[in-house]
Order: sequence, then structure tokens, then C-alpha cells
Amino acid sequence: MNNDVFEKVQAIIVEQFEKNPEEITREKLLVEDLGLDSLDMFDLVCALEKEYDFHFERDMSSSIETVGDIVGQLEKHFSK
Amino acid sequence: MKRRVVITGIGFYSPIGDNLADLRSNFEQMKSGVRTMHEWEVANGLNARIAGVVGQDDFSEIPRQYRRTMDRVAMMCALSLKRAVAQSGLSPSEVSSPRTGISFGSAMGGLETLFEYAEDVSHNSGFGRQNATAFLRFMSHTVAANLAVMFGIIGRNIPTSSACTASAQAIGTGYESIKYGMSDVMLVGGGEGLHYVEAGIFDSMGATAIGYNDNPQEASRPFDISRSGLVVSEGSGALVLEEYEHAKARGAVILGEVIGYATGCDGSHITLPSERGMESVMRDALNDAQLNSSDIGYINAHATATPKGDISESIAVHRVFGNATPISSIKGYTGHMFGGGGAFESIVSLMALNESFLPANKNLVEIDPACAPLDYIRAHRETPITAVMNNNFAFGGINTSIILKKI
Repeated sequence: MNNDVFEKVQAIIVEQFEKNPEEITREKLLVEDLGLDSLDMFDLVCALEKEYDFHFERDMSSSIETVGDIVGQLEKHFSK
Repeated sequence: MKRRVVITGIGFYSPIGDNLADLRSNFEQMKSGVRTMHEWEVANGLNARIAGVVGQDDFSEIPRQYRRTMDRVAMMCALSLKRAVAQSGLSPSEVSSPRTGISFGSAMGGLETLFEYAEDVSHNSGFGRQNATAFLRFMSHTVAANLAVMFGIIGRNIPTSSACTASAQAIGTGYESIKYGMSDVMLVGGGEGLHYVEAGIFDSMGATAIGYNDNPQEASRPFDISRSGLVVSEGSGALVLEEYEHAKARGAVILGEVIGYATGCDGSHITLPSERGMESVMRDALNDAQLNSSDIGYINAHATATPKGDISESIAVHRVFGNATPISSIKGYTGHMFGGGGAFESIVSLMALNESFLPANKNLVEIDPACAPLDYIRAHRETPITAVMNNNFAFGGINTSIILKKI
């Protein structure tokens, strides 16, 4: 589950923001390391919601800082 | 304070090319950029399945941070402006000066994005899963807003959105901004992205060319007796306008001078053109340029090939010019670029000045006897001229006339 989710998140970030896959590791900060801004964050959440067919609550998305945080939130959601 | 305004850079995309050599070649060969739109089979009930298409789909040279909020119309305008600025030789600090402004427009904003957005909201995701960037791609001032960010404009930004006169009014706004001292440089122009919704809109008004789906080269027929309407198309045009002394001081190559501009309104009917309004705007532009009508060596007509518009325009031109001034509409080659038309046709007018080349009216086989007797150009001419007039007219009775002079 863990790697599947990470790989999917990685693929979405690569496609959406035209990044190299090697750049996308769990530790990377979305804003500081990958250069995403507030518009990008909204569009990332939107892409994830479409992919996983669920809704990120606003407090969930505001606590996301790293790629790993996204993976963690998704895993938490699907383990319920 | 009145100052001289010159052109120091141009850039464009059109159905007949993105450089002057291709334009000239297509004019000489009387070759149109209108083609059959097989991809529009999905549009139920559409009569006119033809359009003028720009052969440019790779916009990856625009960095993603700018491209993410751009529809096709903004991307065509952005690359057109990039070329125009490069040709002008303006430095990044000159572009990002408080004395440099921008005025760009389109008829529809980002229509393709708006259509997809509305479809997705209505049929799929509702508002819950929409991209934050969608509005920024389709809003009516998307072109001017996005280009200002990409080029780092900190001076005035005046978007225009008056349909077929959008980019002509942008040129006029830039010209007046410099002439009256508000700016030293203005980046101006406009564009339109193609979507079958445009064809459908004009189909519904009975304004599109019908019966040419298998013969697109002959569809757009300004002033011809068998014309049946306009052909929708896409494209963009960008010009760098600059105060004369500013351009001279930095050693810029000056391509031409904007010496006259007028815009006015019919105030009578939302779609029917008024000969009085058209006549008036041409006279006002001549007054602004301090020229007589006989000084104009070529008129680039708006003439979209609608039954009524071409007649009204010809009558208005006849009242101002008589029948001695050569006139052509290039929409027989390009179709109607809507928001991009004014800027692109001004660039063609500039080409006419600098290359002494007057393009012919394509598909003008038999002049409509209801049109006034004018010197309709039937085959291209190589004639030295010193001043040209470019006219554009839009729904709402909005009229523009721009006069350019050789320098």
C-alpha cells in the first residue's frame, strides 16, 4: 500500500508540475523544495481528490508540508 | 503634450503563418489558412465546420509557472509578445519600468477552458474538484493579466475586451498612453483561441459562411456577391509601441509610426453596422493624423464577408475616400480572428507600408453591386505607399480606425 500510494502521488506531482521523478522523495518540502505556491497546492489537492475520489478537509490540506505528509494523509484515510 | 509613437517590434500567429515571409508567400499564392474541421464532428447541429487554424500547439517554451494560468489565447499572445520584445531590443529593466505598460485583449477570454470548466461543473465534478487556476485561464482579461505577470509589467495595464475591435483598441490605448505622456513604451495587441462554440454562436446568428465545408479555401469572400458570412479563426498579434525619442535614443530599429487613431460608437443597434459611425471614425482618425484622405495609399478593411457588414463598410469608405484608394480585406485568407484581428491586420498594414505590397481580396470573383464602387484590389500590387488605414468594427457598434505611416 505504502509504495503504491507514494508512486501514485509522485506520478501526479511529476505530471502536474513537470518535475523529474527523481526529484520527488518523501522528505521533499512542497513549497521550499519543489517550488509549489498556493495555486499549485490547490491544484495538487484537486488532482489527488479526483484520483482517489475523496475530499481533503481544509485542515487536512493545511497540515501538508512534505510529499510524505500527503502519502500519510491518504494512508490514514484509507485505513479507516 | 503630444509625442510621436513608433513601432519597434512585432510578433504574431495566424492561419497563414507566423512570419512576414510566409504571409507574403500566402498572399502571393492567394492561399487561405481556412480548413475543414473534421474534429468538430462532435458539435451537434453545427453548419459551418470550417475555420482558420494556427499550426502551433507546442507552448512549452513558456515556463510552467506562467503557462499554468494560460489558455491557448494567452499562450499565443505571450509568444507573439516575446518575439515583439526581442525584435525591439528592449532590455528586461526597460520592460519592467514604471513607464512601460501593457494593453491586450480578446473577444472571449479563454473560451476553451471556460467550456471545459462549465462542462465539468455541470456533468461531472460540480464545484468540489475544480482547479484553482481555471478562472485565471478563462477570465475576460486573462491575456493582459497573464502577460503582465510573465513580462514583469509594473506600469499601466489596460485590458480590452470589445470582441472584433479588442486588439485595435489595445493599439489605440497604447498609442494614446504614449502620445499624451503617461507611458514611454506600451506592449499592445490581442488574440483569440479557436473553439467550435464560436462557430456555433455565429451560426445561430446566420452569420457564418455556409456551403463550404468541403471547399474551405473559397469560404471567406469579402465583398463578393456570393459571400454568405464569416469564417471563424484564431491567432494573435503583438506590437511594441514606443515614444519616438525614447526609441531613437537607444538606437532601436523603427518599423513604422502610428500617426492616427480613433474609436467611436454607433449607439444604435447591437449588431447592425452604421455607415455613419464607420465614416465618422475614419474621419476622426484622419483628423488625428492630420492627413487628407488622399494621403492614404491603402485601406485594410474590416470586411468579414457578412452580407450587411461589407456593404455598410464600403459605403462609409466611399463617403470618406471616393473610389481612388486601394482597399482589401485579408479575411479571405485568414477568416475572422476576432480579438486578434485588429493587431494582426495592423501588422499586415505595416508590411504593406514597408514592402510596398498590397494584398488582394481573395475569393473576390464578382463584386457585390450593393457595395459602393471602390478600388477593390483583385490581384496583389507592388506599390510604394506612405500611409495606411486599418479599420475594425465590433458588435455594440464599436468602431476603430488606425493610421500607420512609413518612417
